[in-house]
Amino acid sequence: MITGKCHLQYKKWSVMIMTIKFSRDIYSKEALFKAAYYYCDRAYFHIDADESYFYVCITPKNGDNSIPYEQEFQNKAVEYMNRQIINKKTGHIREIIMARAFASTVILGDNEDSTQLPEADEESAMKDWFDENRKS
Amino acid sequence: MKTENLKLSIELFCLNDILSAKNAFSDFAFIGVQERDGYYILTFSECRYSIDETVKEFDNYVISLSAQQMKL
Repeated sequence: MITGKCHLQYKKWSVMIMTIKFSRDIYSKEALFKAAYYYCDRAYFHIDADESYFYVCITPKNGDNSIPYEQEFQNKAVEYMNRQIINKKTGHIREIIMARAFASTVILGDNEDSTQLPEADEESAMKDWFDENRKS
Repeated sequence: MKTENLKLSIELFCLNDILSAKNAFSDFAFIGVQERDGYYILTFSECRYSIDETVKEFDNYVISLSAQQMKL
């Protein structure tokens, strides 16, 4: 589980300043920085670390305590961690899909001369090269 | 003259981002940078606006610069 219920502790130093502790085994530096970036128009952040934990200090701007930033930040950090995990698992598939989508307009056959491209018409631009040339 | 220090972990922050932020804030404060015990120690002085706000905004700015370069 990414949420790591026991590894996520926070304490309020005062009404205004919150420090949240994130286990380094569960959360990445990237996820915490992205989460802080997401909220940096509404709160001040300070990020520190030791061997086991990241420490995120949050101070709401303009003394705005109406929003529970500690919970919001934790949710956002989990969201970014989730994105990172999904990207690690499926990123290569996305790259292949993108490469294929763009490559379909430029791939030439073995016997085709790149200087003599066939005349393009409106319909051909909408057809996938792989669909037309796939070997059955 | 009032000064304030900001400690940023060398492990978490890149010196280039800190120097970029220092350059961006050059109209608002004088910022000295030192390296000590695994931290960049930033000393703020001659702030045009509130020194506390300047330090916090600087911290947010460095985090923003770092976050924009990170890929998920």
